[in-house]
Amino acid sequence: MNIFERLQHIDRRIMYALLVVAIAAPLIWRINLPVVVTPAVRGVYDTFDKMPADKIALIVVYWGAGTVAETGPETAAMMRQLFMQNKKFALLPFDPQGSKFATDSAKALAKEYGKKYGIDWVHWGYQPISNLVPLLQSFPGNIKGTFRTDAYGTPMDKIPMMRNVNTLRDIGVVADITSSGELDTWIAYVQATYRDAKGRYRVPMVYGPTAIIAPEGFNALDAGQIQGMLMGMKGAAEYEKLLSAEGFATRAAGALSTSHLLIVVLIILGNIGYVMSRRRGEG
Amino acid sequence: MFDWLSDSHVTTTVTMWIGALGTLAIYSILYKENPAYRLAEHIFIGAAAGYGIFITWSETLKPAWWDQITKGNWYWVFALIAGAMFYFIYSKRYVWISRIIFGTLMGLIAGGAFKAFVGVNVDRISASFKPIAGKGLNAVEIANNLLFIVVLLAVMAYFFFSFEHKTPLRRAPAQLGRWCLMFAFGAMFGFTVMARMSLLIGRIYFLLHDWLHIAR
Repeated sequence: MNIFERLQHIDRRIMYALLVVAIAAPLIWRINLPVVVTPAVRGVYDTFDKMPADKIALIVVYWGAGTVAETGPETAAMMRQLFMQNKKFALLPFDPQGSKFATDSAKALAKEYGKKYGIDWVHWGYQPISNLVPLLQSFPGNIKGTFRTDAYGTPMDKIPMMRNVNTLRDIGVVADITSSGELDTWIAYVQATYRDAKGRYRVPMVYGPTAIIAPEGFNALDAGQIQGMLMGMKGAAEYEKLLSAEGFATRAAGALSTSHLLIVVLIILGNIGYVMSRRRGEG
Repeated sequence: MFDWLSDSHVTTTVTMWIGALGTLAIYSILYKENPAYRLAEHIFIGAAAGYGIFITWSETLKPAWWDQITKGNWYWVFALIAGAMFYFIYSKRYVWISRIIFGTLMGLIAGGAFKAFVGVNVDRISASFKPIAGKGLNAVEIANNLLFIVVLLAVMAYFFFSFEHKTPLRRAPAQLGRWCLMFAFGAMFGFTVMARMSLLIGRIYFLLHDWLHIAR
């Protein structure tokens, strides 16, 4: 077997070992490569930034332990911006694991920024995803009648920040952070259903998908159905840069770049081997 | 006997070690098939199934259904009857009962899907009519919109099957559309690779930072 044939048949275990090294080295020696903020991520920041202080943001959590490396930093970065700008938010989880992760993250950030539950943030309680459509038809017109209590059984009326939050008009931004593809359901039942007199969407929406489903979000972004989008861990790293707050995504950005670089090099090597073998008539 | 588990430091350490050993055992399949991987896989499947059953009861059925009945809202019993109707699909004699509930459900879903299709796509179609001339547009925006329109028309030409793509006038746009689709699939695959790498980085960071304390 000559060198070109070998390039096409590199043992996959060698490739896995190289990948582990490519990821571990930047994490151990803290190799940070530049992070460039894209317009889609800036859109997320600007949307929260423009949210009136008398409204609340709704952070939808539909992700679990399987994608915490991507969606966890996205959720944390959004909550961080809201706490930094003294804005309030409600968590609406559709995954019990995501509910726990997001709550832990909110508690840690609230401690960091001196924020209090019920005054600066609230947890509307886990909802089964099978209930999504009836919920989207119900809560925009009557939030307190739909949810009744928060995650800990406190009636919504007794939660200070919920006193003046009754309908969709009191929500300033909807943020859908998800590892699944239910963005279109939100657009159809919330965005397209509730419009102002000029036909514009009543509530701006931003999207925090995992990278694998991010391409689906570009249609909505281009059509103005969402105002911004984070694209997995990369998007979270860009967002952390905008916030000047280094989190897990920033620490992992170097490893993400080196792993991609390795894959590109391996693809090039494999193709060199393939082309050269064909030229020599060995393919 | 298990008092030591109430110590949060001990619990954290035990949890960390279980997580680390589980991660290593699952990834050991990358080297070759082995008993450690099989053990971890079976534990994971069993734990996931048990967790699923528990969560379905504790987070959905109990608060949304059982607690309602025990509070005196007896009409929630009808939910059980409606749910039980699905199981008549296994009876040749009473299969018609299951058809009632399946038909109702399919009607509801079809209605919802129609609303979702219109709600999502009408705005997207109208957004695809982009201006290529007019006041307030700079050169970059015009070029961007023009590129969008060319790609849109080329891809639609590729999916136009009523004429055979024989003449250059029909073949060229379709070929361009094919190239555009290849670029799109490449970008999608790139996102897929990024997603997989992100998850791997998450686990390696857990091993190096939380478990071994060697990552900063």
